Amino acid sequence: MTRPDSDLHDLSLVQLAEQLRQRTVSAQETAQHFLARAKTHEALGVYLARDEAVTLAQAKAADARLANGNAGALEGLPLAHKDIFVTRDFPSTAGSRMLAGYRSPFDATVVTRLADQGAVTLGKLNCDEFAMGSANENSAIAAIGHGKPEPVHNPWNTAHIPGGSSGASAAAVAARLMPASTGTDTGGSIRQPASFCGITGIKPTYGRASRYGMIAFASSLDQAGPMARSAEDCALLLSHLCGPDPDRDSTSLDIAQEDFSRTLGDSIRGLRIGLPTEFFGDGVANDVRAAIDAALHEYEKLGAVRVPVSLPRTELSIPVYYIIAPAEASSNLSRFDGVKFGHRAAHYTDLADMYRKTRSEGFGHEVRRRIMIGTYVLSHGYYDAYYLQAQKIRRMLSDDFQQAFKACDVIAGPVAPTVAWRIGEKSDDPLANYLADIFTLPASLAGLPAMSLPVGFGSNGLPIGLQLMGNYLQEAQLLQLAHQFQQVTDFHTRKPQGY
Amino acid sequence: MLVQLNAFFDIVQTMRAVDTTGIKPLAHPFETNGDIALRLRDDVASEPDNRQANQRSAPSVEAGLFLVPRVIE
Repeated sequence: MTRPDSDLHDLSLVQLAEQLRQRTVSAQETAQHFLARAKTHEALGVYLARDEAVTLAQAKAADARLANGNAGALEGLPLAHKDIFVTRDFPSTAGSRMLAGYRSPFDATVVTRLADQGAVTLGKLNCDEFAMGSANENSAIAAIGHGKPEPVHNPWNTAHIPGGSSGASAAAVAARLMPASTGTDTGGSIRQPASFCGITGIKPTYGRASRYGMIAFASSLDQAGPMARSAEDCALLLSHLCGPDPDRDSTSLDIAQEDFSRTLGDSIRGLRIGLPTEFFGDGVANDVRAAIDAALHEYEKLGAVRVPVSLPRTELSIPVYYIIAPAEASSNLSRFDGVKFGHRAAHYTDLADMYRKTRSEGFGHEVRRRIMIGTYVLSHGYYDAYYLQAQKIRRMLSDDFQQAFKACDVIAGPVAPTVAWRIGEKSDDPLANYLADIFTLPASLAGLPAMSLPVGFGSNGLPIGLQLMGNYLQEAQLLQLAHQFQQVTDFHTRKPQGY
Repeated sequence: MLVQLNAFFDIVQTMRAVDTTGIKPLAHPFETNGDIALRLRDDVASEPDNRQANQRSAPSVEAGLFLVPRVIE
């Protein structure tokens, strides 16, 4: 029996699944390998929680099922969850002091669905507090091996941010600390870190993945999705992550589970790729522009056709999103009052004082800023001018996409205007962070599936991602398009030095 | 923080100028793809009593009750 121990972390999820099925490697050996790697690379700051006993017990159970022929589709595959998903077996913090040490009495549906197929949980991953951020600089919880809360590092260049809010989910996969992870995307939080870390990540159609047990940020935007190195791996995970959850999530779509891998191998000849003029303006950095152009050229060689389209309200997506998301957040986060769970201030005079001090101590700057914006735009006298107006423009933005999809099958463009910036470069300037979200916000507001795949490298050796946006429920087509690209390029197999 | 909030509301001004006469607000993004009704489940108790586990992370609990400062004297 050959044991490809040292190479385990270079195997794709699909390859590793095959090794586990063939039993050339056990789930326990696999889990041990990745737990050991986690310790070697603690400096990245990706893990907020690990529990070897829990992980190894899950791996042992997976080995038993592999031995007796009851293996699930993900049997023995190790992955970690963004700390936005609540878990019974690990603390669930959302990167916030408010939930430091919090233990959920239940698992998120996404966690349960993956575990039901045999996936083994390595631990919980760092993120921006309550998923609010684009750089993973806003976590208030110290990562394992770190004495205090610190920004997560990008393995391609550790002086740079990994993106956010699923920054650690992306950094961990890029650094080969796990073959795949889960992330959540409210305004780009899967796609932008995937792009910045040179991995592949997909946000499905709003309603595909259950939001039950995902600590809520903006309920009409939040979606879970997989982050892995290839489209093939993402397709495998997404197929099991999505599915109706009628009793637990009222916004979950009543659409049967689907095999998103079924068309991966199909030709994309004749497929029309729409290129919105608004995504190719002056704001896009030269290195990003060059990598996107080269990728589109590759797509032409594969037989796809470029079509010019327009998403005329792209710039408006910034104010619209940053009204709607904080409005929903201010409502969702009102539950953190220090009564039933989470942080409570140590000293207070009466109930109102307890609420005030608990929330002032428990929430970080960015979260407080968004709660204030959200409360303001929902307040009497401002509701129509801000919140309602934003929701109306949200419909116009969604209609713009439908107009564009009359001329094309998918829409492509950059994920972000630049590569990952330096840690600290924009941390005192929230507006600069918001503006950099311009290309991921439109698909979020419209609830469309969208993904990022690695297509090149720019300044400071940092990766560049191409964004593909599909029409509702067209995830399989997006993954097919990404997979076909990954059959003729090797960007998704490159790895940062030292990992 | 006030400066940052004001800077944010400067970019919001562009949004306020858009003519949205006759446009219905969009609440569920999938609506664009056709009518969608948010479902309600049957009003029946489906969860087992899980009080102990649910109160495990509570800041202050006594005899199964959440404790807060006195509100009514």
